[in-house]
Amino acid sequence: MSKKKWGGVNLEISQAFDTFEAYSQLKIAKENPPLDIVFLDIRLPNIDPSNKRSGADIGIKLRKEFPETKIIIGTFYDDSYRINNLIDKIDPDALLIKGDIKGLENIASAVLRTLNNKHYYSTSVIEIMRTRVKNPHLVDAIDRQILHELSNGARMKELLEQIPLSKSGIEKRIRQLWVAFNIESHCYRELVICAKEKGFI
Amino acid sequence: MMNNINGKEIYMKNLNVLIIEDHPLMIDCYVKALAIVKEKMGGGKSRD
Repeated sequence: MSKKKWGGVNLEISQAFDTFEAYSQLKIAKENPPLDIVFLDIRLPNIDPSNKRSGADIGIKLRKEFPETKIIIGTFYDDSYRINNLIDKIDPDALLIKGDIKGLENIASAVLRTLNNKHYYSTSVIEIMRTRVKNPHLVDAIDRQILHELSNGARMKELLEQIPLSKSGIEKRIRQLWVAFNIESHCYRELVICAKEKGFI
Repeated sequence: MMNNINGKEIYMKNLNVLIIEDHPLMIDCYVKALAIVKEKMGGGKSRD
């Protein structure tokens, strides 16, 4: 952990390099509010094996316990499944895919927009959100989770472990997805390919 | 302190920032971007 205090403007920057430090910093922030802005990477090192919490869990905690704090997520992940999950579960004030960042001005713009109570999304995030807006009722979060697991090669046994539905519930969802994506062959592989093409995975 | 950003006024006495990131390059980018923000908010250049 390090702390910088800059002259002129009262700008204080604290840092955390892993999940353990992040939770420690949040505890300190809870006792010494306010916490105005948090830059969060969702893929963080975890030095404590007994602690299974991820950067995304930190984001969820932040949103719940620090509702006024502006959350700016920077991530290398650019797949639709993860990005949609971050938007649904954390609703960050700014979401930057690191590959989209062309310069410091991008990050500075994100900060300034969030301070103006506006959202900022990098170009790839906007593209993913367009797909979502174009097909608002096509798939929900559970459908996306099923598609994500199928794309990782999951079979019904694994799906039952990951998806909070019964076997018949999952089968029904998959049948609906075949219809939604017009997959007449009823083939999982074709479904996954089509979902990828449409930006759902 | 009253700051004017894009035509809107934001009252901000302190700006407390937490960077949760392990990549040194990204940390550097965030700190430098905050320096730009500080300048745009009328705070002048950082001493760092």
